[in-house]
Amino acid sequence: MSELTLAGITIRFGGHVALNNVHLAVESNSITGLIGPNGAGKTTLFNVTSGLLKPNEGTIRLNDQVMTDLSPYRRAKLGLGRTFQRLELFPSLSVEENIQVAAEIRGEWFRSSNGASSVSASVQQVMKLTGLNSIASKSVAEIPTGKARLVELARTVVQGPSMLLLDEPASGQNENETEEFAQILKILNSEGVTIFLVEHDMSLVMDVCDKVFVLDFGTLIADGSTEEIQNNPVVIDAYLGGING
Amino acid sequence: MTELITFTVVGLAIGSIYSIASVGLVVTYTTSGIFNFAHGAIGMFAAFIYWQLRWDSAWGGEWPAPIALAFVLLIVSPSLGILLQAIVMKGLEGTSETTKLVIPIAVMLAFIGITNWVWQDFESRIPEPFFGRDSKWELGDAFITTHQTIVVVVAVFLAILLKVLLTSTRIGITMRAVVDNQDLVRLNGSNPNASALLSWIIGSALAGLAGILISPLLGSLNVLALTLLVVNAYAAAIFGRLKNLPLTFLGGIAIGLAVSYWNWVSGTGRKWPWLSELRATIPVLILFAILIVLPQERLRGAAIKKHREVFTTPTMKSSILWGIAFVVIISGLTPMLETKWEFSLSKGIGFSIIALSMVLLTGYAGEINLAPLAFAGIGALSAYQFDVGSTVETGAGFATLSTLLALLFAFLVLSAFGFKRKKLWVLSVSIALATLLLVTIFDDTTGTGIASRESMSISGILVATLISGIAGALVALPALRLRGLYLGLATFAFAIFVDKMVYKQRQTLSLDIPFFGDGEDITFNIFNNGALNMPRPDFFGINFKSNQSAMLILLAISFTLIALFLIRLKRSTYGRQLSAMKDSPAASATLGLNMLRLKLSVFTLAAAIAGFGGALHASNLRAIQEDAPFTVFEGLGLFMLTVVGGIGYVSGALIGGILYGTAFIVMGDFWAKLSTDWNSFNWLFTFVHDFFLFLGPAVAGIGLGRNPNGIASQIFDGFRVLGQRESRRVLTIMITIITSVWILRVSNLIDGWTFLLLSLPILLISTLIADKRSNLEEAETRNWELLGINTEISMEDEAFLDQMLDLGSYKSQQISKVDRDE
Repeated sequence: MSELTLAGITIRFGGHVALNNVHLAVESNSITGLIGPNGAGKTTLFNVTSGLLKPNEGTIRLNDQVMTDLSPYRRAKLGLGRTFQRLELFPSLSVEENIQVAAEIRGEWFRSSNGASSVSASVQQVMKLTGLNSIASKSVAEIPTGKARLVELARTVVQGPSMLLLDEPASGQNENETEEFAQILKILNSEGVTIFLVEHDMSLVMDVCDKVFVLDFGTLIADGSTEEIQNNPVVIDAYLGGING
Repeated sequence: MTELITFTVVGLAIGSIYSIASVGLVVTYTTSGIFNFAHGAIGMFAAFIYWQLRWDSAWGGEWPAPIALAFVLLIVSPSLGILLQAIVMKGLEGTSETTKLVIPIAVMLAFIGITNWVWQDFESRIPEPFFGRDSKWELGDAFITTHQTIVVVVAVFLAILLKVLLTSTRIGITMRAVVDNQDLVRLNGSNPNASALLSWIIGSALAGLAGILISPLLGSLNVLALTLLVVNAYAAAIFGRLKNLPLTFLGGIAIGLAVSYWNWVSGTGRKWPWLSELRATIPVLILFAILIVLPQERLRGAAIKKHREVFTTPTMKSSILWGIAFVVIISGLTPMLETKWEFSLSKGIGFSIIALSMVLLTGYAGEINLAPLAFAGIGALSAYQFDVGSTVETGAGFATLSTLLALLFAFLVLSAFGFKRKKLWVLSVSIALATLLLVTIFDDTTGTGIASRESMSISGILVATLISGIAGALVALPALRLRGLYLGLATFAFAIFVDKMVYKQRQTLSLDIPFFGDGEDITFNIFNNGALNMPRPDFFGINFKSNQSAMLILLAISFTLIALFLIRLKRSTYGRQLSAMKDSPAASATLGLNMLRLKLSVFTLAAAIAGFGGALHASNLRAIQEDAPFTVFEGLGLFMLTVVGGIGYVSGALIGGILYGTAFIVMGDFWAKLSTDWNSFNWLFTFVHDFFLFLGPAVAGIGLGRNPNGIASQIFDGFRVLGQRESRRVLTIMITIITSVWILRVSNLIDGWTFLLLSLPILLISTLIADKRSNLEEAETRNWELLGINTEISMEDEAFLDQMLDLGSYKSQQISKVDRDE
């Protein structure tokens, strides 16, 4: 069953077509990759999915619910979480508060009898998972990018999303950090979270992804398992062609 | 037909001037990224100089028009542009939205200050149109003046010239490129500073030209009226989305025509007297409407820049201690101070309470509000109308109104606090009932009506708070999508609207509330004769009327309680959500935060604080006028000085309010006293006195408005540093000086006020010095080349390097950091 379905998504910025009739489906409980050269439209696709951009054409479904016209915050309530390529942390808050505020927002969606204690329990649980305990009270303006990526992940994971959009989580991380990150993704996936991942770090993509989509100039040019994509001549051409102009 | 032609020509001429001004505004904005609030003030200044050269009898005067024009437009205005860019605006790229607003506002206030200083006496200065008042030609039956003709021709000519300059010349293209990416322009071998300089020269010259052209149409020269004319240009510039010159030009013309046709239709206010002021507000309404209709930039990562204003929150315990200390100090001061000085200080604290509304809205939530005093004014007016002014004939009407307001208010605010359904209802209704009880039983306002009271009651202040809060919600509702500069402009438009439509309202309006009383229940005369007498409170068995000390302490306690409430709020879920919304709207939205609800609630709450402060402040002043103390310019001044104090901290509000309401006036007074005591230095002391009075706030704004954290945090940091071992020398010097001053006081060589005036600055300056010294030492010990060789790389180092290399995308932080290092 597909968790996330995009059908015929087209978006234009003036005369430029950023996404051209994109159809794709992310299978439930999978880790799916989205790759493509710079400017292919990957982040735009995430912005459309999370509701920061409205598509000119097409529909977006999460499970079976159409959410094309929903505001970003309603999509979050439906279980869609995301991180950003350019970090979007809350620098006036500490690491723990960044996660706490997300948990508190979730607490307001549902009427739970044990509000405060369940918030703090879920925050502690996620901090343990991501290993952020040791820097809990630090300001997020003072932590290196690798850690900041983890804070963004923890912040959305604490809301218990069923579908996670991760936009280049490995950029700015060193090799060890990326490996640990991959482990966390696998744990989350084993707990039932579907993950949709934009990434340039091919080792991470090849390590964790079940399936990969390839985007180039706003058009989907290939999809398949990691092996298929690695050997796909169209994909190789797109990347090399991208370099040559 | 004749009337049509006449009003069209008048509209075209005025519109052309708006176009010239707005095009100048857009040129500086597109090339420097700064929305020049001082644009109108520069035009105003140029108009005064031009008048001086052409018509003054004492100095200048009698200059031929072409020479005077050339002098003002080719020498004075461009020099102002160069000075502004080189000294003030240059370092503003990459700074926060607030800073980018505050500095031009400070410059605007500086121009107003200088003009008021130079052209002090109340002489009526009447500029003549070009070729005199009688020079005109006929079109059909209508007369068109030569001045009007020249205005339109010049505007069209300038528009074409600028279009060619910006699209077809090398320097013009560079100017436009600078906006997009300074670094790229630099890499391509052009000098971004040169093109920014040119844009400020052009902008200032156009502002000057607009000022000179419009002044003959307004009758005599008026500082504030000329400065505000630029608001019409704002509307045109926003119409052109701050970048499209042809659209901007058309916008200016359209606004000119709209105003002129309105004058025609309304018979300049004869047919609908209540709306007579509307013609002055049409451009403001257009500005507000355009801002709201304009498609907003979507929320996205890079668009909303992060800046280095990180406000720490003090702990509740230390806040309470500081709060108690504050009230104790103020109470302890009262026996030492004359009533006059107590009054000065209480004025400052009154403004501080209003400034707290900005701490909540701008400091905590990141929403800019340039109309803090408009909400305060609404509060003061409401308190007057509903409590002491016998507006409402029946007590039942008043009680109903207060109860409904309370219910609405509670709903708006509490829903963002996570209260839902039943809980929300129960709480809101309880609050409404409590209000009803207070109004009817405790303050006994039922029966024959409130009638004219002789004192302000708690119900009056409560209703003031509620009405301002709801007014805040009403303004926020259409403006919910706006952020940053656009929100600033929308609230600015609201402040002008209140200035013109509320404070200048003299008509009596009657309203009938259905089911209550008989006939007209509410009779409004909002601002009778342009002044209202506000009585002092009389509650808790204390008569505040004759007791200035009690009033001062009441204000101090009110400030402290609201400040503590805000600090508690900041540390709550609500406060964290405000921080999240301020730091990253995009992330807040995708994390499922209902930002519209949060914004509406925080606007309501902030406006309510302003209204509460306004009512109390007005009551302390005993009277309010249409032109003081709640006008748009005073609001800008208070906003600016609160930023100087530190808009993220309640202590910043205290400093801002006291700077605005007390400090400069007291300092001016001090020098005035000196000038009478030492007559031979009269000229010097008078100069210093005038300087503080006219330019003090503006200079503080220009000098200190850049520090995004404000002086409050520096002072608190300084106190901490003073306690450290390294600062022992500074501490010793400080204590020595203060002790000597104290001895002078004890031996009665100086009075209490001089003691304060001498010791307080020393206390503050030593903390700043100590802080600076410790920062310097820290900077010296950091040696980046040897990082990892002689020291371990700490997490902070790594974070810093990541930021400098833009790995995490804190791009603007990086820019501002580099800027400071240069």
